[in-house]
Amino acid sequence: MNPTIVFDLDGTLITCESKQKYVLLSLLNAMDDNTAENLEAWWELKREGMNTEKALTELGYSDAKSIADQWKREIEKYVWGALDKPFEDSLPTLSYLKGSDKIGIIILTGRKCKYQVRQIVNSYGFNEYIDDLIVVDPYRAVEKKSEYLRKIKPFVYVGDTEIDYLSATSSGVRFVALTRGQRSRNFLRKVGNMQTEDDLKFLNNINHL
Amino acid sequence: MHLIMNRKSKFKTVLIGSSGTANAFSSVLALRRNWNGDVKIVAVDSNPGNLVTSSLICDNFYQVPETCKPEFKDAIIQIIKKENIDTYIPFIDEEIFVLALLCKQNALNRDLYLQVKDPDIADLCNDKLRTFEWLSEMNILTPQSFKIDRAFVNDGRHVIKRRKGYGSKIIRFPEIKGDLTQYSPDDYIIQYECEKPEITIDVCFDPKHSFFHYVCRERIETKGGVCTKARLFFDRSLEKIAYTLAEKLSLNSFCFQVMNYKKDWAVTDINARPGAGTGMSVAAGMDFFSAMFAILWEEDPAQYFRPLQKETFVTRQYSDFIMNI
Repeated sequence: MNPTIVFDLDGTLITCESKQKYVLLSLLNAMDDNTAENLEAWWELKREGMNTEKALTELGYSDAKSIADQWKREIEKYVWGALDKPFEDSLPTLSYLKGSDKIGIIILTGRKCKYQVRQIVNSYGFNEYIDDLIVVDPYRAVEKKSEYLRKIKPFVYVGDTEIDYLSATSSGVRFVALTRGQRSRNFLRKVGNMQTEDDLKFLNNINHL
Repeated sequence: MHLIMNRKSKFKTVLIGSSGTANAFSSVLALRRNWNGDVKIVAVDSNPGNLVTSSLICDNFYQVPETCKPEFKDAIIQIIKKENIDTYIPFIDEEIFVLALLCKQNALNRDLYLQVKDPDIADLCNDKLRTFEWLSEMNILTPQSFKIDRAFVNDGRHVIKRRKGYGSKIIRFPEIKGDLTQYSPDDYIIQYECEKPEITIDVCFDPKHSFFHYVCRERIETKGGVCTKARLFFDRSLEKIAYTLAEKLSLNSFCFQVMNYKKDWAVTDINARPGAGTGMSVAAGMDFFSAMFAILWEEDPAQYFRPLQKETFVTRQYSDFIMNI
């Protein structure tokens, strides 16, 4: 069997900050809430490990649960996907890996709608380089991602969250965390002993992996 | 609705005109996607904020008088000063003309980033009769057009159009009740009716970076003048027209339409801005909106294009937004 690399999508191959922040801004604007300056602080709290509701509560929103519930519904809307974009090194790295003999590339991500993810992956041109796209239920992400990782047996799984870390470790797969996505290096190091990288440069020489 | 948020002015402060339009929304998404915290977005529209989707992800929103009203100019000048606007993106052809005129009259900051600063170019693109005359001078095929009060033989192939209008609206002679005098020669023209298909060509031209990109978008279905089903492709003859228009009119981010006229492509309209359907080209990997900002800010637009690998079909569906929670 060919060696395979598995990538998470959001925060790993594509950005996630703009979408998360500006979907929150859209809700605050629709609520006539004049607190847009909190966007950066909210994102930093999320990077430090908080979920949407906790971060809002921390910032003093009394209706944090209601906002967070609406945010969760809104974030899955296809139209907001236009706030994301591939990281600069994503397409070149996929292209390099595909050009390196016999490397399989799979994207494994937790999202509600597989067909939307396929559209996104195609619009960025990732489809030219990947062998498969697997989309799992985001509410059972660790369980489902672990199942697939056990089946695929990749030589590395590249992700950006504690969910990705737990999925990899529970399936015995080597994990590399990128610190440019949902979680900070500081937070990821508290979660566990893992290799952390700023970007995909570490994949530039496949023979050294 | 949408009070001033007192955000610290960022690296660029962009004013999005006619922000209720689809192309304005695509522009706001492009700014948020690529410039994130380095841009402050102010939006204006003649509708209130709770009827303008773009207002949801802008920093500030203002309701302003309609472009055709005299109060519009004062309102815009005030907003530009108050918000320290350095970049203005108008999306309605009349608005493009008004802004160019204000520029020429030195009513705006000379350093304002604005694609069309020459009112003559703006007017030429906005006025179908002037477009016809200019294209004819340039030897670019365009359907015969003339003032409505000129004598002509009606062979059933001509239609009436507004000189200044958008959305492909035409009046056919059998639909007319009464005589032609009801249509002012200043406002209406008669034009030879071209045949389908209608193709829109999205264009990006940046002489500073020696960059040119285009894509042809066949309007397979339109609703309210906006393309909802499209076929994207490249065509060498249309590419040549696109380059000539870009170069001769000094336009960087624009679109134009062609239709079939006597068995060849004829230019029917030039819009000095991206179109409402340009978002469909973005979906296929050609981000003309981000490129528009890149060119204005002297960045390289090439990074926003992934050339089409094959003929591509794109469809468009509406999305629903709750504007007041």
